[in-house]
Parts: sequence; structure tokens; C-alpha cells
Amino acid sequence: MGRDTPPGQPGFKGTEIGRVRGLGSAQTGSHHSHLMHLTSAASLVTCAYLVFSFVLLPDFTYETLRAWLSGAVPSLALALLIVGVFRHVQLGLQVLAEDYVHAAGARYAVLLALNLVLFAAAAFGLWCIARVVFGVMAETTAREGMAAMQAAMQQQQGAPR
Amino acid sequence: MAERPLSPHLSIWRWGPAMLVSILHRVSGDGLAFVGIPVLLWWLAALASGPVAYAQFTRAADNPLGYVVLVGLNWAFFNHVCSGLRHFVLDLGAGFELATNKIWSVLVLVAGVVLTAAFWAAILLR
Repeated sequence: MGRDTPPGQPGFKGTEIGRVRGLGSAQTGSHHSHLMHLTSAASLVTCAYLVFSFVLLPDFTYETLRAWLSGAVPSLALALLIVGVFRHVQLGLQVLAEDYVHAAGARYAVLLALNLVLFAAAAFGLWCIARVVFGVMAETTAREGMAAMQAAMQQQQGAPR
Repeated sequence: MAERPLSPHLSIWRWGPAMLVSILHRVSGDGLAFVGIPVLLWWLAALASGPVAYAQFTRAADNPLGYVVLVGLNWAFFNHVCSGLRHFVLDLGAGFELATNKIWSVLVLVAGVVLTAAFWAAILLR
């Protein structure tokens, strides 16, 4: 007993860190750490794309930004940004809640609310991007259709019956 | 069992660059989460909703308070990226020597400010 009892065995006397040292991970910390690395790398690439786009865009008017965002690469990059960044934010705020919300019940409630809100927010972001892409697509189709119709009408008026 | 300090325990340590950069990583990350994400979603929603909604967004952004928020978010972003890259190095097990750690902590803090200034200079001088 006492000094000779190995850590983790009943009767071990020592500090809290001494009790657990060498026992390995208790829960799923390494998975969290791995996901943090993965999502920060994903966020870094997609956010860098957004930052460079902001610098390279001629202006920030509605027309310019919509035309830009409806493009294949920007819309995909921003969709990937939403996925990567929101997962990263979720993991980060989870740590915040685990550090500062001490009561177990309240902590569970906060984490539950956090996951629900962030999932909904990410879905909303993706939906906004899709709405811009398909909206611009519909506008283009309508404009082209209108132009074709006008051309056909002019041809009809000009042609002898 | 001895009573040991639990996080948060800011009041008992002498401040140093590594401590500051660690705290600012959390501050900037949470700032981006609680302010940056809503602004990003507002911007996307405005672009998806039409010219009137987008004009509302630009009216809010294009005034002194809006610029304080945007520049603040920008600094938070660059600071978080720089200290995040520092964490990548530390997670490899490198950069823990006292002098090295101090140098890189200071450089991270400086780089966050420099990159923010460079970004706004690039936008405004465009």
C-alpha cells in the first residue's frame, strides 16, 4: 500500500496527476485533437481563398459579389469553408463550454444547444450559397430566353407574310 | 488532496508572451465564433435575398462602428491563424525551449497586426 501501490490501483497515495499518469487517454481527446488539426487546415485553405478573393475583387457591390459567388469555384470554396469552419467552431466552443460550464447538467444542455445551433447555421449558410448560384442561373436563363424571344419577334415582324 | 487552482487562473501567473498569445487565441477564436459567424451569415443571406437586403448590410458595415467590427474580426482572424500555426508546430513537439517559445509568441502577435494592416491597405489602395 501507499508508495508501493501502482497508480490506478486502490490504495495508491499521490496527487491527482500521479493517479492517472501513464494510464493513457480516458476518453476521446485524441480524436478531438485530430479533428482540430483537420478542420483548421481546411479552414486555413478556404479562408485564404476568401481573403485573396476580397483583395482581388474590383469592388464589393451587390452585382459584383453575386456574379463572383455564382461561379463554380467560389461557390464550392465557400461551401467547403462553411463545412470546415463550422466544424472547427463547434470543436472550439465545445472546449470553451467544457472549461467554463462546470455543472454537468448545464454543460450537457449548452453542448446540445451549441451543436443544434451550429448545425442549423451551417445549413443556412449552404442554403444561401445555393440560392445565389441557382438565382443567378435562373436570371441568366430568363434573360437569354427574353433575348431569344425578342429576336424571334423582330424576325417575324420584318418577314413578309 | 491539495487545493490546486483550476482554469481560469489568470490572476496568479506573471504575464508573458506565451500566456498572452494563448489567451488571445481563445479570445480571437471565440470572437470569430460569436461575432464573425453571424456577420458571415448575414452577408451571405443578404447576397441571397436581393439588392435591398444587401444595401441594409452595406449600410451597417460602411460606417465607423461597422469598420471597428470588421477590422476587429479581421485582426481576430489573422491572429487566430498565426497562433493556430504556432499550435501546429507545438503539437509536433517543437518550439518549447524558453527563448524560442518567447520569440515565436511575440512574432505571432506582431504578424496578426501586420497582416490585418496589410489586408486593409490592399483593400483601400485597390
